[in-house]
Amino acid sequence: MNLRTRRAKDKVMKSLTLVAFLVAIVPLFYVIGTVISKGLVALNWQALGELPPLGFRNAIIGTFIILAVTWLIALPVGIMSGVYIAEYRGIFARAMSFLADVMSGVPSIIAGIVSYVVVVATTRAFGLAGSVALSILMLPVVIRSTEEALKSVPNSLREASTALGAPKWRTTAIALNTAKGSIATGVLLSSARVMGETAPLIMTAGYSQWEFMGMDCRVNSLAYVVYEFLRYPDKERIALGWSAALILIIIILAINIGVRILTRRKYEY
Amino acid sequence: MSIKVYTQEENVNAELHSPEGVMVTEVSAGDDIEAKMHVKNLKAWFRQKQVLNGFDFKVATNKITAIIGPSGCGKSTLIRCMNRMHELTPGARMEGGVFLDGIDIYKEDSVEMRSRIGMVFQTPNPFPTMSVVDNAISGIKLRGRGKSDGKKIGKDELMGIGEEVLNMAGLWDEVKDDINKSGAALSGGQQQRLCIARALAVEPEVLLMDEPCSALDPASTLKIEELMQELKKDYTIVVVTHNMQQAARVSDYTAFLYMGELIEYQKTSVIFENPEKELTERYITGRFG
Ligand SMILES: Nc1ncnc2c1ncn2[C@@H]1O[C@H](COP(=O)(O)OP(=O)(O)OP(=O)(O)O)[C@@H](O)[C@H]1O
Ligand SMILES: [Mg+2]
Repeated sequence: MNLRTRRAKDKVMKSLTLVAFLVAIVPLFYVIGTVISKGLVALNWQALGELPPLGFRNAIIGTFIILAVTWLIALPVGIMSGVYIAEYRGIFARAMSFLADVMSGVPSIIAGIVSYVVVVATTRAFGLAGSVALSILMLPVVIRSTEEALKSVPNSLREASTALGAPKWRTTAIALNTAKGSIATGVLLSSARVMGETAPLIMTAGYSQWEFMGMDCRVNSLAYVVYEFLRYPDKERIALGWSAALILIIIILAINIGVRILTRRKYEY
Repeated sequence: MSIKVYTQEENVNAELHSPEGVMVTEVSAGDDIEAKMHVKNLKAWFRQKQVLNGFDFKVATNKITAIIGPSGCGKSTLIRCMNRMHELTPGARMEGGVFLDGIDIYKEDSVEMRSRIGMVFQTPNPFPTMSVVDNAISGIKLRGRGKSDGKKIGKDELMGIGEEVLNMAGLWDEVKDDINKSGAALSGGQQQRLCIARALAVEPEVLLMDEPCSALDPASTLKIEELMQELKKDYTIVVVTHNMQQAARVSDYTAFLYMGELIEYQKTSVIFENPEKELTERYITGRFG
């Protein structure tokens, strides 16, 4: 094979990968472009500041409240499970790790139904049920990212701590502190993902046109407003639905960019 | 000081089988050593594999004891048994006794024993999330800042200790302008001295050092050797080294370990000038294997 044909082949390969890349990003830009162009139509202070049907203020607030309660449930349980798996090992830990993997395959609608059966059917706490459903989706990610982050902490740091006469739990705290950047990354990325989930909320937090009234009531959310308004027959509601979608995408993008900045800082020292 | 050499018959461990092809006569540094630590009939395993074959070993108070021997002979395992780090390795096991001032450290609380027997590792391992001072005082904080009288060590006192140990490690003048930067931002030699400072802050009685200079340049090595000379006034030091010159320069006693056996244990001058065993001589002159 001479130099000419080799160079030609290199060029063909390079063009092919470039084409594939373009094919992959076209839908991405199409989605973002559509959401921006349709979302900007009705996006104004009224949309952000009023309650439905004129705006979706309660959905913005509700999205963050649902997420906050999801964190309250999923972070302690998830981080501690991850610590157990990574720091204590053993058969039980391996079984837990396997269960987390299985759990990450649970379809989001199933998480919603389970939460409905367990929480709504017993206590009628719709908002809380929404957070529980999202926790089911978030838990495996938090467990796995905590586990991976801790496993990437060099053992020499644990030895240093142990040799100084630190009890096991303080040594674990040192490892956790060293791994906190990666754990935060996992938490934020999974938060961004569950924020956009609608299916788990259908039977749980659902839709509300009122101010937030507590986790025992329906709690509106951006994802649900999109789902709700886009099924309305009037143009204004549909346009508002697109605006809610735009806000949701902006929040998720902001989280992703924030994660980028956070992880970049990690390599400085 | 004369070193009593046990003959095969006298030795309590005489029934131990020797590794194939190695002529082993158990040797123990004399009974007249004032022993800070006493290792008795120590055997250690990683899973099925025995790496220490059972020997006695005394560490002299306020002296520097060097442990030399080829790679894989069990030096690290020996000193890790001496502050209960060995048992943390999955699959690791040991038999025999390790005594500190006559008390069996395996019958006491492991956390307490580790703080009395400090350790410096081969690769500097400061905590990257902590500043230089925080690294220096980390041991105190990790142990809960409690004093023996039940009071807590105050913040100012902590800072004072930080400065003091950084000074002892000869690091204070170099880092005093940026004690708040990460411990991992120092040079390798500075990091290792930081690790020594950190070990000193918990006021151990013994300092075990596993090849503390192997990752360092000659200038940093020299600094650490000077530091060791300084420290032996107050501490009992055991240092593992691959560097014959270093062992000859810094240590008072030298133990030669080979395939899990203590081949020879003598005053350093004797080992290097007039070793008892041919194996020892071949090793220290580099005519080995
Ligand atoms: N974690 C481990 N698991 C299994 N075997 C091990 C482990 N650590 C050490 N060993 C084995 O135990 C023996 C002694 O190891 P040790 O680390 O004590 O040697 P060393 O004298 O310190 O060597 P070096 O000079 O290379 O540091 C070696 O044969 C090694 O293969
Ligand atoms: Mg070693």
